[in-house]
Amino acid sequence: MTMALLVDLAKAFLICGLLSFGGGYAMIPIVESELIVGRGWLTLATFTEIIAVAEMTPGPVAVNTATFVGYRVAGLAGSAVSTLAVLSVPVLVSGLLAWLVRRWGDFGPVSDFLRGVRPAACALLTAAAVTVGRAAPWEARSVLIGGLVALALLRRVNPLWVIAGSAVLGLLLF
Amino acid sequence: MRRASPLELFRVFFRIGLFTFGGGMAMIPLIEQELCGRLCLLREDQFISSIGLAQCAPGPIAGNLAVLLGYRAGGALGAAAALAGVATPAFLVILLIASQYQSWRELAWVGRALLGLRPAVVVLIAFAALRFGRMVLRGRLSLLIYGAALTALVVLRVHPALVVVVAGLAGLGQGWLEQRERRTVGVGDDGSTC
Repeated sequence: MTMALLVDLAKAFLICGLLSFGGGYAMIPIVESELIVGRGWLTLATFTEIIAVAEMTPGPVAVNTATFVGYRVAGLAGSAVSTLAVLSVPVLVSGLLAWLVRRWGDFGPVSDFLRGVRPAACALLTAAAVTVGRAAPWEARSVLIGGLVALALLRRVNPLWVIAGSAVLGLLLF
Repeated sequence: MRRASPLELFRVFFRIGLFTFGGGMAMIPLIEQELCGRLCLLREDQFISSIGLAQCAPGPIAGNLAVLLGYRAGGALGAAAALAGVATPAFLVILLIASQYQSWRELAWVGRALLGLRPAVVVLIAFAALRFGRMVLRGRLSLLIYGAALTALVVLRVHPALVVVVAGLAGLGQGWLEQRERRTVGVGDDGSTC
């Protein structure tokens, strides 16, 4: 029974990993159809809780979700199996890309392709700033934090300290 | 660039994973500081193209970036170490929460800290975009790709992977045109000497 459950978890999260192009949040609708409707492992309420927890903990949302669901369904073994499963397809694909770029990166057409990718990567970053910015609470205290962060970055403070500091400010101000 | 040991990459990405809130893009300023700045393991241009490539594989951006950059800096073992490093903090923290807490509401104070993190993450990502932009956006085509990609992402909500592939094809097209131009000029030179 437990073994079958683990295999089923692995299968479900393999599919989640395979189908989640574009980051962890892209996985959410797939989790919904696979785990809630498909297998009845979770209620919508528990899933909402998982997303809330994933948002307030460090690390990729996909890993957070897989670990949480795996633990709730089949304990420690379940969480390990789900986490490995959700990462396996992405790892194979990006490993292949990494190998291709290292092997062929200096080859004319590939380096031309990468030269086109770079400005798009800048656009991805800008778009990410816009997306996060839309979700941020736009009040005086968050503008204050943003200003302090900009000041710290201009003075070349390590981003790790910037993040830790703004979390403390969040606790004090909100 | 020197080759990194797996242990070194695990430690760096563990630290990055521990401090990454709000998606893989928030991780980029941290990675840049550690790998390109402090440790001198990667060139900035390699780093920037990896950000694009990470969008072309399924799964969490953070994991894909760890594999792509870990491989660049330390081969297959380096990729495995970087991935394990970035996933372990997330795994352990969630395990702790799932086993200890009945409800996430007991963790509401964390939500307050996160409200402080949001504006910080916006500024961090915006700074990274600015810095990379100054490096990469040279010449008409790169500005054109940047503008088109940004419009596609923010206004038209085109899928990031598609944007990256089309941008790469544009780069490929430009390379082809440049080469043809060079060849035409070359032929002309030959003709004049004959």
